[in-house]
Order: sequence, then structure tokens, then C-alpha cells
Amino acid sequence: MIGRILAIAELTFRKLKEPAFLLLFLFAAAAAYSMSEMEVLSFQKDNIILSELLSSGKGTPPLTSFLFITSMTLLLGIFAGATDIPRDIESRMISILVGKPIRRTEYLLGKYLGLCLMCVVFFFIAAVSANAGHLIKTGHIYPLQLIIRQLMLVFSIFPFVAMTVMFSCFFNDVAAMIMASVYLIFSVFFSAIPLIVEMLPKSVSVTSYLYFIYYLFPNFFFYFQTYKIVGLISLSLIIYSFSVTVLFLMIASVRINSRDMLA
Amino acid sequence: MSHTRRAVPILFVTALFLYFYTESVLRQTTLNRLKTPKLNVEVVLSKLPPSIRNSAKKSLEIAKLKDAVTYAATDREKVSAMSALAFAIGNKKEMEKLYTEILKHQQYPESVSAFAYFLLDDRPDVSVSIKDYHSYIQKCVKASRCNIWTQGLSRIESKKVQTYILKDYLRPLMSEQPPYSDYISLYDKLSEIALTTKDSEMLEKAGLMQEQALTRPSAAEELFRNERNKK
Repeated sequence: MIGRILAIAELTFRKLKEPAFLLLFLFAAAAAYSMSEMEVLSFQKDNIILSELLSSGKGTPPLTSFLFITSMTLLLGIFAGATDIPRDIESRMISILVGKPIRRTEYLLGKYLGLCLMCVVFFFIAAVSANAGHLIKTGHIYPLQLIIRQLMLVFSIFPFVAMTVMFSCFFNDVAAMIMASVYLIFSVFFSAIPLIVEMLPKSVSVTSYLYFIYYLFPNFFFYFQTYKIVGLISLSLIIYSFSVTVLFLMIASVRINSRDMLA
Repeated sequence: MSHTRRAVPILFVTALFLYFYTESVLRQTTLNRLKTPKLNVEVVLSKLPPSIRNSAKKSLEIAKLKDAVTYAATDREKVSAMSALAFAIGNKKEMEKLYTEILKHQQYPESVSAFAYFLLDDRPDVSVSIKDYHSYIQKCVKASRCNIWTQGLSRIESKKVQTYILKDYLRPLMSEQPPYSDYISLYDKLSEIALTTKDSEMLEKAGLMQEQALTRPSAAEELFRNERNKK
């Protein structure tokens, strides 16, 4: 089973050879290099809530350059994740693949792993470029803890790619891209729900409805806070990423197993 | 195959449990960072467009008052919060329900809005008679009585009652020395009633009382003086 999943993942990952992807990687490396001198992620003092959330707490903060790198990676995640499965269905490639002794869930997991690998490679290339840029421009390397903290942003990729793959099992490529983008925007907005609820008087009766909506979206804001590399928050964040990923992939699996691939 | 079928729900439940658990840990950590006095709902409200802001402000105000009622430490605080809530709620049924509850607390001057509201009400089960209102006034502290008299008077006047009822209501004022200058308007009203009813004895006495009231300090002045003396 694992062999078959890895075979599909490899097939997906091979798409990196396409010139468009190579160009994208080069662009990411160049952009990350040029932004390597950006400061720790912060907001103006007017945005009390955001600045307080990002800068308060003990530990290591994320860097603005790595916020950019993560955003670029998520963009790649949308483009690659939302289009891969619909295009396989359209080109009947999926019929060839699942006609072999490969289950649809195995195909889905293989696709997911391949796409994650693609995004992670993209992230690491940009990260290495940013670190190299910092070294060349200042003659110093980032402290190890700061580097590890930035690399932990990679955990935001796993649920995100799972989410785009899930949408790609329901819609065609363009619709899946739009849905994934809209879902991402909503999840950013709804990440503020706990903060709003905390400020509201306890008698406000909409709290439970707000939380119901909140739980339907992953909270990507958690990834950009200041926290210790080794601690409860980082551990929770890793488990959170994987649990959200599993939930998205399970929904995708239910859909792909019930879908008529010839329609 | 059966193993896979069994594993799927277990995996789903485990993932769901871990999702809720870790989310709760991360959320609590985030919220604990926000415990500063700078951060309150007004910050959020100020960012909203004016059309939404006003209605949101009103709803939040009511919710805050409801919180104040729920978490009141003493009966007096509760009565005060209930009065404020009844005033703000903008729903007659809810307001009357709150006022009925407040009527049970006769010992506090904060109950005045409920007593005044039900003064000479048509419904016998909740109606407060003039006699009951007078005894309520006597139970309250001296400094708050003038306000209670005034609220009761404006409530009776709004009902457009006959003059003799107004006279009955204000009559006890004729038999006590005015403690504060705030009472001047009440004696003024008594003089007006006396003129209407052609009661010269009452007119003379009301004038006398009014002159006496003029020599007295106001309730606020006396309160301020007492506070200063305490220090």
C-alpha cells in the first residue's frame, strides 16, 4: 500500500521538471533573497490586537520574509493542489491509474504527499535563499532557534494542501482554486472569532453560533505567533496541523470514492 | 478490508478529538496574551461602519447590563443593574418583568424606577398605591428621597390624574421640614395645586416651606461636605 502511495507521490512530484515550476522556484529564491533583511513580523501600534498577539509571549517570533515565503508556498499549494486531480480526471489519467491495483484513497494520499513534497521543497529553497541572503548581506547567520522557528511555518502547508486537494475532489480545477482561495480568506477572517467572543459580554447569545462557524475553518493565525520551539504550543501546533489534515483528507476520500470518474 | 473499515471511524474520531483539543490549547494560549486593559470591545466597535456600529453598540450595552445582573455581588448591585437594564432594554414585556422583580426589593433607593413605573397602575397585582409609595420613600435614605418624590410625581402627572390625587401624593411634604434645597420644585408644585384648588392655607404653608428649603443646602452639597469631613 505504501509503495503504491509513494509511486503516485513520485509521479506528482515529477511535475517539478516542468519549466513553469522551475521558473516559479527561481522567482521564489530571488524574492526570498531580496527580502532576507526584513524585520520580525510586527504591526503598527494602531493595530493593538494584532501587534499584541504577534509580539507578546515568550519565544521566537516569525520573520516578515518568512511570512512572504509561506504565502508564496500557499499560493503554489492552491495552484498545484486544486488543479492536479481535476486534470487527471479530465485527461482520463485517473482511469488508467485506478484501473491498476491502486485504490482511490491510495491515489488521493499519493497525490497529497506529492503536492506537499512539492510545496515543502519550494518552501525550503526559498528559506535557504533567505538565509543565504542574510549571510551575504550581514556576514552573520540567523540564530539557530530563529531558523527552526521559521521552518516550523512549514506545518501550515500540510492542512492547507489537504484543504485544496479536498476541494479539487468536489469541483473542476478553476472552481476548486476559487473555492480554496475563498475558504482561505474566510478562515483568516474567522480566526478572529475567539478574540471577538472574548471581548463580548457573556450574555451575548450568538457566541455558540460564532464558535460553530469558527470550527468549520482552520485557524492559520496560530502559525504566526511567537512561541518557544520546544513547548506545549509547538507540540499542539504540530498535532493540530496533522489532525486538520486528516479531517480534510477523510472528506476528500469519501468524495473521491463515491465520485463517477467518467462523468 | 474489514480492518480498514474499522480503522476509518477510529481515525476520524481521533483526528476530531485532537483537533478540538489542540485548538483549545492554542486558543487559550492566544487569549491569555490579550489580558490588557487597553483591549476592549470599543476598539472593535470603532472599526465598524457607523450604520452597524450603533445597533451593535446598543446590543452590546444590553448584553453588558445582563452580565451585570447575572454577576452582581449584592442584592443592591443587582437591583441597580436590573433598573439600568429595564431602562435600556426597549421591550415593554421584558422591562415590566424586570420591574416586577425589582419591586421585591423595597429597601433600596435604586428600586425607584420600578416603584414609580407601577405607581397607580391599572393592574391590581402589580399596582403601587400612593400609600405604598410613601412608605417606600420613608424606607429610603434621606438624600435619595427628593429624587424618588420627583420620579413618582412625574409618573402620576403622565397619567393625567385629577388634582386631588396629586394633592394626596404630595401632602406628606407639608408635615416635614424640607431637608434640602432640592425640594423647592416640589413645594412649587404644591403651591400650583393650592392655587388651582383655591386652598389658601396650603398655599401659605407651601410658600413657607419653599422659603425654608431655600436656606438648606442641596443633597449633593451635603454629601460632598460629609465626604470632605470624613477625610
